[in-house]
Amino acid sequence: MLETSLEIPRQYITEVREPRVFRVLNDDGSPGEAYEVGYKPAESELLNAHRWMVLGRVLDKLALLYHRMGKVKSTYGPHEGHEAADAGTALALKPDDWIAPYYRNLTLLIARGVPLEVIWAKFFAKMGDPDKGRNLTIEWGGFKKWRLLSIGAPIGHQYIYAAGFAYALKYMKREEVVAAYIGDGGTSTNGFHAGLNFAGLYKVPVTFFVYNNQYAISVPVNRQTAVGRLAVKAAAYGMEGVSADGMDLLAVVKTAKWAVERARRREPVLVEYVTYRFGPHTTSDDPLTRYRDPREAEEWRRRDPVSLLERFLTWSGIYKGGEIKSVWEEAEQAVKEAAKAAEAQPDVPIDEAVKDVYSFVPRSLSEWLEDL
Amino acid sequence: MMANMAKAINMALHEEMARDERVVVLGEDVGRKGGVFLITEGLYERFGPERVIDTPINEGGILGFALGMAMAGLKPVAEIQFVDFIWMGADELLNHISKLRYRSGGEYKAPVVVRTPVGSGVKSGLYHSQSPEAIFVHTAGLVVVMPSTPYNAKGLLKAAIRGEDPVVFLEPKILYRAPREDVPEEDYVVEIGKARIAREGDDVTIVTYGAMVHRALEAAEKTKASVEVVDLQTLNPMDIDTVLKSVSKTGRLIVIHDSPKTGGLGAEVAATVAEKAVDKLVAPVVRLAGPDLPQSPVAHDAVYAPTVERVLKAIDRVMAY
Repeated sequence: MLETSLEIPRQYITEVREPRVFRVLNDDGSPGEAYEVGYKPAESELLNAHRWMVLGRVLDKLALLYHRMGKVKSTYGPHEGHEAADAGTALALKPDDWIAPYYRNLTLLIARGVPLEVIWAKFFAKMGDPDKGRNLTIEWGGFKKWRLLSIGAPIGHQYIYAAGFAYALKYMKREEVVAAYIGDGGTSTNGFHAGLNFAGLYKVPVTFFVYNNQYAISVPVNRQTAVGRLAVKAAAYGMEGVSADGMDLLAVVKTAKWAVERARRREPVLVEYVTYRFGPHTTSDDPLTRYRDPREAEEWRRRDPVSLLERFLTWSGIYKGGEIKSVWEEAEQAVKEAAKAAEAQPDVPIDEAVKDVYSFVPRSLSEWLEDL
Repeated sequence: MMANMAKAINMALHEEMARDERVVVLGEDVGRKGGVFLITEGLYERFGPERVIDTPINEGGILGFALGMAMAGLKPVAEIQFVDFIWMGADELLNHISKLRYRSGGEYKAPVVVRTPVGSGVKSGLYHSQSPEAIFVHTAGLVVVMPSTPYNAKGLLKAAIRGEDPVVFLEPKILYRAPREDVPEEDYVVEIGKARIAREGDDVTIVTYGAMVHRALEAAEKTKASVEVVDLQTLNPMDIDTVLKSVSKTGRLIVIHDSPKTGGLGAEVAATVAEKAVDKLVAPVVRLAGPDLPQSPVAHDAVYAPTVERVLKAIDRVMAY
């Protein structure tokens, strides 16, 4: 009797509906019904995306190898599994739009036109590194030339500065938008919640992408948050959320286009891409001995984003035979040549270390340099 | 015009916002209310809600949002209502605002000015009286400024807003209402990185900043010794040359601050003098600082910061040599 007396009628209680995950491609590469929905990428866009994704995959693998050989100077974090989400969201952006990246966005950099040699120079901490050899491999500090905003390792803050950057764009009456990226673990951070709150409040031209790759280092997403679909987190900030299959380039492009055009109308939204981190968190991590069943990756491999796209390109007749092989061969060659060129670059001289702390070199740093 | 520090800072904000439309102000209650200390009074009415932004209660949000604005080319002046609340935004300030320029190889700049009240003496307990300047000074990439008078508050803030480095602008809240002095209505700046000789003297050098400058000056009036008071104004980068020059003249050094002694800025000043001019010293260095308490207890707030009596005792101590 006591229990019934505590009941409050349903209409006074919030209702949050977890959305279905938007998917276009079937496992065999044929498109499902959703193919007709929203934006339809041109053939040239699909070919570009495939090329970027293969480059990303090849670069990732070689970076891991070069890390083992000691050539890559600091910890490396592979992004295998994120290629379609990177390429698809890149396709939705205009060249003068801005990106607040997170660290596992390698294909995104390639799609933005960052030369492979610049990326290698960063991994090798050589002179061609825009960050002057100051950061870890995948902390994108100074890629402003390609309109990438800057990140450091503490995750989440790119969401709040992206909102501030977008506010400034709106204030200056500019047309660009900001696309901000984060992982599933990042959705627990203050930066994530502050970013959504400020963006929703001030209606700024930003769009929020979450890569739900199932793991934050070792912690699975169901130990990170009580909600099943991360897209529902948008609701608390007065914005809409979408979940899409991040392994499926077509699903990514369609939802990203929708999101970016919303952002251009100053309606921020949150898009969750459901994907998988095939590799370790970083080269300092070993999932298989500690926290992951190898059969799980095999299951996700059925929707490996690169092969899924290749199956679609074949199914649709865009590729007739042989093209896939040559894309891979060209990528292998380009990545290796770029690595060779970057290796030949000079090291960063020590006097660079004291620059850019301030607009001036403070006395204590000049004294340190003299004392070395 | 005659103005107190609150008015002088308000004047600086009005003038800089009128001068440069990239300057925006954001923080909790800075809009319609004009800030809890009325420092931003009149800005909302004059410049509108797009430039004078009332934010949600989230210091990390305020500072991170300001950082994004600065990256895009604006000049945000963020108010943190009390420095005691800044720790929720510590990641933004200490990890990102301070390091953006460095980690981006100089590609991005973060000219964010963070204004925030500091200091004891107004019986405001553990969470409205902190003065953590040493933590900001210990973070490379931040310029740290603390004014001591209406005149230098206006000039230093204007210089901070016009610079391209992030500035933590610490306002001793005990000085907001008094003293008052003549503050020019014309445009002027006080150069960042330069100390000021608040009073000339030959026997003892007192190095201090913020509200403690006034304690030092009061003590100087009451002692027979000839006291020179160096007001650092900028805490980082510190004007060591002015300190060394003064100590070389007097041979005696007292350092005063309204914040915990251990690991405080007094240690930095004393160590630097020991490194560079120990041969000029004729007496041990005295550090007068707040006790290493969590912060100033309400019941004993009057004795948290070094009192004039303690300053006089310290002068006697060094004059014995």
